[in-house]
Amino acid sequence: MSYPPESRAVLANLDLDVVAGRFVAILGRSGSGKSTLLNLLGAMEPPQHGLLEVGGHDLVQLDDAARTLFRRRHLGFVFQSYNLIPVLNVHANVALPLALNGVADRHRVDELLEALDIEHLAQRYPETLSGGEQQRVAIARALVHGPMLVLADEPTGNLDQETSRQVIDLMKKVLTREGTTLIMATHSEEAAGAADEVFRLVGGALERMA
Amino acid sequence: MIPPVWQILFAYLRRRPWQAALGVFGIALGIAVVMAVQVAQKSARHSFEEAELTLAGTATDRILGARGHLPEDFFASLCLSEPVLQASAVLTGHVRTAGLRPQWLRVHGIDPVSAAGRINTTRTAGVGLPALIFGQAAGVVAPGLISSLGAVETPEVMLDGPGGEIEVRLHALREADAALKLPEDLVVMDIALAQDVLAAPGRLSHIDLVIPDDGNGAALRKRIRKQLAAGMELRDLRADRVARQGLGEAFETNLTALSLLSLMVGLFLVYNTANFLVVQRSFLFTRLRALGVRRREIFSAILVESAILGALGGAIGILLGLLLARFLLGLIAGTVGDFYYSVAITAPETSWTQIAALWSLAVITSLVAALPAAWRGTRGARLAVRGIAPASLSWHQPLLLAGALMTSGLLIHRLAPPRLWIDFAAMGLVLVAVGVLMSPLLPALGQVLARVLRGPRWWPERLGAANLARADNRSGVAAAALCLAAAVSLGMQLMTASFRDSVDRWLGQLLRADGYLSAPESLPAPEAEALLASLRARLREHPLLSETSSVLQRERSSSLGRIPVTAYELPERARSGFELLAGNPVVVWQRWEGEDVFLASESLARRHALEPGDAIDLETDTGTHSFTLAGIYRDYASERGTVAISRATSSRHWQETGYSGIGIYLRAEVHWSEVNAAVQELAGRDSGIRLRSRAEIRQLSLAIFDRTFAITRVLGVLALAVSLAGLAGALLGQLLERAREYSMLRALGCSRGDLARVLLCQTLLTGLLAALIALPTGAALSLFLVRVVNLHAFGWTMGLAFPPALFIGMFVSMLAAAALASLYPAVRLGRAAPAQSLREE
Repeated sequence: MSYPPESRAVLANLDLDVVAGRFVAILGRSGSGKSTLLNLLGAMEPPQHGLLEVGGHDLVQLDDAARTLFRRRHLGFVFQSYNLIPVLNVHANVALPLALNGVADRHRVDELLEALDIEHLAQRYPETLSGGEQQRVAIARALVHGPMLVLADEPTGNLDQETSRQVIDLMKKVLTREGTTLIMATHSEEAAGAADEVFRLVGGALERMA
Repeated sequence: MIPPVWQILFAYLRRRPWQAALGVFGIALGIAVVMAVQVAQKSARHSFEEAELTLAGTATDRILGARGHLPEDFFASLCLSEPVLQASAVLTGHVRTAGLRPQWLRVHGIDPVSAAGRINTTRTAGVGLPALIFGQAAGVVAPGLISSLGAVETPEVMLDGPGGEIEVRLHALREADAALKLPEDLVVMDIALAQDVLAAPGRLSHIDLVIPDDGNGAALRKRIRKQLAAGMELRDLRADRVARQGLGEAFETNLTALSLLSLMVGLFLVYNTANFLVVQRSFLFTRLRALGVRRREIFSAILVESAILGALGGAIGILLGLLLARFLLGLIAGTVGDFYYSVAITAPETSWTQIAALWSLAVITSLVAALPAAWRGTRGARLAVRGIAPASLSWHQPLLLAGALMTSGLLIHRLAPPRLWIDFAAMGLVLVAVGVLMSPLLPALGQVLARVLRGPRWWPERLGAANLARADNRSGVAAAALCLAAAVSLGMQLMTASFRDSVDRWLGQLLRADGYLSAPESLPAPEAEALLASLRARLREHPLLSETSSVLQRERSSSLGRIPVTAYELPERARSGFELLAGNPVVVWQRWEGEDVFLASESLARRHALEPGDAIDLETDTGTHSFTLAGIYRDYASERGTVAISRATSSRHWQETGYSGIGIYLRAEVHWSEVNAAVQELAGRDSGIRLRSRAEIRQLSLAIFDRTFAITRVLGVLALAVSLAGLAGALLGQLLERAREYSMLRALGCSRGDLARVLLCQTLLTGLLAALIALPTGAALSLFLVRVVNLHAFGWTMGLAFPPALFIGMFVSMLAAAALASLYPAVRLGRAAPAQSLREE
């Protein structure tokens, strides 16, 4: 697939197959197109050419409304700057994807908070948390509705080395338990080291590294 | 060279032109409303005063004749006996224009030569002098009259007066003399021509005098009084003018209240906008501080930027205000026309001082609004922010402030002397206190609802409520502005409704006759009174009528000064038309005709602290006589108040034969159309006598009332619109500030509809809370306006009306408007790309 079209293409002739339940890391320099690739995989923008299928859903054929529903049901996101809703407490932030899908499941939220070791923060607001704590809340939010795929964009970009390692370990543990596929864009070789498969994005195409 | 911090701030605004534009627009809107109301009010007042001045000139005194006329010889002998006296002879009357569009005009005859060369008391004379002296049969009129007559620039118009048809060439007041206003139904002409047109050879209506206000003037007045023949009177025009200005107090007070409202809402908006522009960049300031920029440097840069935005917004607001004033002027001119005479208010009048004052107000308010935010925002230094932390709002500070403001307002009202401006100040303090309460109440409501809305189906509403629960001060200020605008608008509407209701009931009780006859308004009073007298003589024994009543209105000298005295000739059944507020009705009506008693209207009694049993002196044809106050009655006809006496009492002291109006009572089973035809037959088809039914008079009076207060509704709606623009602006600002957050929600799978629900819930809750506070506040405000302000201003008591329709209408329109405020932000939000959330700053 390619995006955007013609000569300005950031991604060109990119080919990627990911087996369900795997943890895939995509390495690349700043501006190499990692975020663009995640946007495409995250059904936020359709590719201009090519085939894009996630869990059997042809994303190219989906219109905006259908892509919205697809994201709501099947995808989870973890961002570098956490992007928690500042006016909601931790519990409500995590429960948000469930609410979007019309589900109320306190038990599921509590279970994930416990798994990520942040159950004691449930009533706190984002601005009172440290970076590592906020990122763990973001991971819980990405997993709470049982998505088939979680996309993480530089999830450790704002964290120190120790916290980064803890977050990656936790994320891997919980994702493995949930059987969820994880595609993580990062420029950190160390973070990528935890992945099952590693690709490098160079010149708009992917090269398998491990 | 521009300091680097300034460059950064300006670059920030350049990169976010929408936020800068929103800020400037908010300031402009606030200033525009204040400007429009002030300019419209000033222009109307100025035009009215100019018209008065143009007619009366700088005259201080006026000599009036016994029957409305003076002999011309008296003027000649006066000038001979007092050679340095500044005196101007005037003859006034009414004529009808013949031709395609006939209309009644008032004739104002002056002596242009003596006026210009010797005395110059009448400014009009100077303006039209060449035309009046050198033109044959010429008249000077306002430019608007020429076009209303459908004529060319200087047309020949046939004037049909008592002296027959005479062709007169009309000259429009030159554009250069536009500062001088002439009423649009007036033609100024040479006095000799006026005497021909009005068939009044050798007669004058009055003589205007300019008498210095010193010892010489007092001596001169004494000498002139000695020369006056029986029935002639020397009247102090300045006292008359003061009384005449008083006639417009109700209207002025109404406009002043609305002007204060617009000022309050406007300043709220300016404050909100300027404050927002600083708060939203708190993170930038903390980073600059972290980079080593001194607090003072950032602080001064913020103030310079606020001053520039305030100046820009103020300038745009002033221009917008001038446009808006044109529209408001039309409404005000209509009211002046209803009560006085048609005055052409062609353009908004303003001064550089006023413009400078408003412009400074915009700059100063912007600076004051930016100060606290700048102080807080530049306190600390941080390199990274975890997101924009909502301002933590404490309960006790706003509550304490609101309590202090409210207590001050109530204390001022209780302890200060009863003055209109003190009433307004007390009212303003209480209103601001209510506004301040919105800051803690809005998050509280959001918190409660965020807890209540638990189900997954309600997550957008829950998020909307949570947004309010953790809202920053900006939302509170926007909500306060909306609440205040709605409360004041509702309060004014309720006061108007109460007033209208009282006037309606008063008219219903007062108007007892089946119909009322009046002479054409354009007829001079003596002719009109004589015409009605002759008509009444023929109507007395008319077979269709059972009874007639009459009224005669006069201005008379009294121990209270010049006051209106109305003589009533009432049948038994009409007496119940007087609603007595003090005095025993049985005793009042027993003494009414046989004794020298009078009834005082409520406003007169209140103004002069009169109580039943008090006496006043009135100048009568036979000297000064004492009259006893028998009772006080409700009357909304005039703020000056009236003395009511029986016609029998009047006849004992004054030789009067005419009537100002006649009431007729139909016999049973007589049809209105029969009476109408009979009256027209008796009066003569061309007499211009008008017969109006009771219902028609009531309808007409209420129509004038509605026109007078139309501006109240318009300004109320305007204030609401401005505050809603503020609400939409606050919401838009929040969206711009939290764009990443909302696009992240889109990334998580929120549809555009879901996000619209979040915003809708937010504005609806704000509108709901504002409405819940505004409705009782508006009701309390109307109570204050009716019971305190109106009483102090006009001396009228009135019943309170709380029409449910007004409350429901305000509630629904506030919610609808709040929903509308979310529309544009929702559309903008819908366009936001979800991919934005993946991009780092």
